[in-house]
Amino acid sequence: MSDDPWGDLRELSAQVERGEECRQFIDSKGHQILTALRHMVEFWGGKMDEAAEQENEQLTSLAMDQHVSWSRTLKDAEKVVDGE
Amino acid sequence: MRNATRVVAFVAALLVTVGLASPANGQVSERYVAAGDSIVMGAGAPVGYSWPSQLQIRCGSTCAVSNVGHGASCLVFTGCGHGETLLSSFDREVLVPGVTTALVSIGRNDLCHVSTDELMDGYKRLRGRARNVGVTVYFGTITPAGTGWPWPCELQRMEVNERLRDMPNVIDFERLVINRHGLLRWKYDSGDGLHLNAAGYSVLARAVDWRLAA
Repeated sequence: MSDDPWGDLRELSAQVERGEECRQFIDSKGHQILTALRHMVEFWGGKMDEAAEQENEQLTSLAMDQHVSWSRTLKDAEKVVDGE
Repeated sequence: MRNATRVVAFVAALLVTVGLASPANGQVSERYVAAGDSIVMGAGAPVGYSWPSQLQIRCGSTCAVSNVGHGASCLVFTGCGHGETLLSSFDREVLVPGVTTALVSIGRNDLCHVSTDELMDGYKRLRGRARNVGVTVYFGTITPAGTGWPWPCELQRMEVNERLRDMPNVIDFERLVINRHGLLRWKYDSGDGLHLNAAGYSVLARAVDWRLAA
């Protein structure tokens, strides 16, 4: 895990937001950024399940949005790291 | 000329904000008090660029905006760095004679420490107390951010915001500054991932101004 996974994710998210090519940043972080992204996906997956168990549709939907967003970013990052 | 006018307005607003001057009493039709935490105080931006300061610039001499934001302050949680909760200071700091409208943005520092129900009850109590003395309250939703790993109370922040949106007179700060990952947009981030920069506070000021004018 990176020394600053949160900072890495913020930077990656900012680059995505700006529509920049993130390849260089992801390459420089390698599997560290994938680990951080997987953590976020798991985190929001867990929150989604928690909210669903509480039958809170609103929160389930909010957590699902985040889960989907981070999952997409993870998928894109995996392609870069795997050299696709 | 236009730039000169803006500079004069900015300096005047700055002096009002830091308490060294008051807008001409005869022209002021509205008196606003902005209350809350470091996002109200303007942390992350240079002095004079908090959103209440920028609101003052926008409304010029037609309004007077006081800023009673305190860093590390909470609405109901009594363990915050500021010490006094807004619930306990509200009557003294905000509901002062002559105030027409209270602009409240607080709650981030309560997250994880109190339940969502307790927070919502706090907002409602502020609204009720203001209503009793004829003051209208606007609440801002809690802006997105995360400075910790693994982002412990983000879902609670979202829940609080969703419930705030069901209340009247709420200005959706979050929607103005959030990106697709639920983070503070990079162009509004002061650099610490939590506080806004001058551009971010400008967006909030504009939203408040438009809402008050509506």
